[in-house]
Order: sequence, then C-alpha cells, then structure tokens
Amino acid sequence: MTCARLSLLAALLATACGGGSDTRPVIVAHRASASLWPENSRTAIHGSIERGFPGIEFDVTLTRDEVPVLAHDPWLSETLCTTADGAPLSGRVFIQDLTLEELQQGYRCGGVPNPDMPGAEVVADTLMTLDEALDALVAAPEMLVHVDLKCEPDLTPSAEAFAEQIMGRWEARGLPNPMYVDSGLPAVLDAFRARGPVTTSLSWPWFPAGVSPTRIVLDHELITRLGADNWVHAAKRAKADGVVIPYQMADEHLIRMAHHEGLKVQVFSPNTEELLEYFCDWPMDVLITDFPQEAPCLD
Amino acid sequence: MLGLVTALVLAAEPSGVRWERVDVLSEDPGLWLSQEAPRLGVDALTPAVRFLTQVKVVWSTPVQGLGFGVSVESQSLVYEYPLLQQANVSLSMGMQTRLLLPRGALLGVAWRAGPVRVGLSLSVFSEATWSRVNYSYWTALPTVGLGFGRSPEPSEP
Repeated sequence: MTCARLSLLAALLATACGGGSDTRPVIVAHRASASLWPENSRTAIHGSIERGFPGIEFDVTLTRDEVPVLAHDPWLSETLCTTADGAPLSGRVFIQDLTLEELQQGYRCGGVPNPDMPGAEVVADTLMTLDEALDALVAAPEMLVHVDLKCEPDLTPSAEAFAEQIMGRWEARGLPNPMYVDSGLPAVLDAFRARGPVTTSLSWPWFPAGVSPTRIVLDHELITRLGADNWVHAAKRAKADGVVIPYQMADEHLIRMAHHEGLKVQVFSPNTEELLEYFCDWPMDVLITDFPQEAPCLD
Repeated sequence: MLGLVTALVLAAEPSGVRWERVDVLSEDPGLWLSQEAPRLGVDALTPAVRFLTQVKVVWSTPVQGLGFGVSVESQSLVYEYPLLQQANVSLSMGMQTRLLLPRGALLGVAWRAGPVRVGLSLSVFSEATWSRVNYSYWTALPTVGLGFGRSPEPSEP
C-alpha cells in the first residue's frame, strides 16, 4: 500500500513537473551498430568495442553441430549473404542445417550493401562465432551485453541446446560484463533459467518469421489500448527481469509501471536523430539503436 | 467503426438512452494530452493511433445526470450534478473500467456551452487488465476533456 501511495505521489509529481527522468538510458549498439558496419559481423563487434559504446546487442543462433554464431535470423539473409564465391543465395539457407565448417566454407555475409543501412561499410566475411565475440569483449569489461536469442521452434535447435551452448561459453569465460538474454518466447527464457542464474528479458511482441512487423506492432498496440494485455504483464507472466519493446509501443506511463514491478525496460530501435533526442529523456533503462554514435545521451 | 456507432445510437434511442456527445479528448484515462501529444513531432503514428483509441462516445441515460462513455481504451459511468446552473458548470464523478474491468475513478467539473463540453478532472486509475488483475500500481493525474454533441436536457439541481 505504501508502494502504491508512493507511486501515486511520484506520478503526480512527474505530471506536475512535465515528466523527465533521473537517469538517461544506456545506449546499446543494435546488431553491433548496423549503421556503421555489416550487422552482427566481426567488423561490427570489434568496431563497436573500439568506439567504446556503452552496450552492444547481437543475435545468436546455433549451427547443426550446435555452435553459437551471430546471425539475425535462423537462416542466412538472402539480401546480405552470398555463397563463398559471391553468387546470390538460391533459396533460404537454414543455419541449423549446416555445420560450422560448412557454413564458414560455403558462405559470406556483409559483402552486399545493406539497403536499409546505406552508410554502412561493406565487408564480406564468414559468420562470427560467439566464442570470437566473447574473446573480443575481454577488451571491454564494462560493456553491457544484450544477447538476442534467435531460437524458434522447427527452425533452430532446442531452447535447451541454446541455453547449454551459450551460457556454458559465457560462464567458462568468466567475463565481468553485465549481460542479459532476450527472447520473444517465454519457454526459451525458462530453459535458460532452468540451467542456472541468468538475467532474462522478454521481447514483446514476439516477431515470428514471415509476419509483417508493422501488423504485429499494431495488433499488440490495440491489445494494450484495449486493456486485454500489456508488455508489463507479459514480462511478469514470463518471470523475466526485463522487457524489450519496439519504440512505437513505448509508453512512459507503462515504463514507470514496469519499474514499479521491478522490470528493466529496453527499447529498440529509434534510428533518427529526432527520435534519439526525444527518447534520451525518457525513463527507460536501455535504448537500442543502429545509430549509437548519434545518440545525444551517449556517455 | 462509424457504422457501429450509428447502429448503437439508433438502437439506444427507444430505451431512453440518448446519444449525447463525442469526446475528442477524453478525461479517462486522460494520458493523451500529457504523454502522447508531445510525441507528435517525432513519431506521428503512435500518438495518432492512441488518439483514436481514446476518442469516447457518450450517452445519457434515463437517470438524470447519469451517462456512460465508451472508447477503445476506457468505458466509464459518470454522474454529473449541477453546481453553478447559471454558468452551466456541473460536478462530475465516475468510475472507469477497461473491457468492463473496474480500474479507477474520476472526479472533476464540467462546463457546457451549447454543443461544447469542457471537463477538468482528476483521473485515478490502475493498470489492471483481465490477463493480470493487479491493483498494485496507481496513477493520478489532472486531465482535460473536450467534447462536442447535443445540448443536454435541462435539469434541476
């Protein structure tokens, strides 16, 4: 009850003072700064560390021999990847169908300009392994690490395999970095927690492969406005420590409620100067952007 | 949406329920003006969607002073009692629900001039939803309402 009263008072004060936050969000480089380098690439990981960004986000999936590699989807991007000799991919190549050796010998990514990030460098390379990324992070012990789990039923190995392979490697390194894993599927987060202590974030809504992200965001915005559900309640049900939401669904009121519920709030991915300036004053914990170098709240 | 509203209005009339107005700015929950309007300059879509979801259609009932309003975000039952009749100012108080789950209350004053109604209220509400009926977090904020519609029936204090 005291908590409720304090929240009420805080809300009144916030309203009277026009909002604002005590601390600014931590800036996290989305896909290791996709505006500067090929997303999730070796170049991007090393570049983000050298630039000293406060946080880094990358996506991880597993090969057939259960080696964690950095890739945004459970398959190779048909836009950004080619065969090793530079030919376009003919059809969808699932990473879970290839061993690490087959993947490294047969394919390159980042060597094709990214139409969504025209200013990014173009560097053809093999997929980076999580082991290599963790090696690189030794040079940035304070960097916040956001591991986005690309674990999907039927398209990747099991959640238990993800938990074993990723957390096993993380623990073996003993890196001091703050780290959390994120998934849109509560069962994936359950598998990680079942293996041992880990900080988890629920991504809400979940964006399954092949469905329009705009449609998903609009549907969930309507669900939230109707009061059928919201991302704070979804994260609490998933027993997550935090929640990852698209900036379009960010709501200052719900962020304050999430904090009241003990949740961290990570917002992705405002990518214009205006949006970054605007959201830098919001009370969320983490702001994930492809343009970390342009965020006014970059320390 | 418009068809649905029209159908509801026509269906309600014979039962003594009377369409009264549309609140383009709703006092319940009342977050749009303070939280969404400032966002218009950088991200128009989200505040536009949230504007539409807070627009409220209000009906009066056969009970003098008692009305109910329906928006996507909120359904409220509000009683208005004439306070300064010459000045068309009334005291308003009501209950807010979301998908008919009680979520908070509303207390304020309303001023009418012909088809225009301006309300100033204190809106107190929780974030309880049917998926998690939890009343541990409350917000209270001053809100402004702006509605257009029929002039209300004359009433006695």
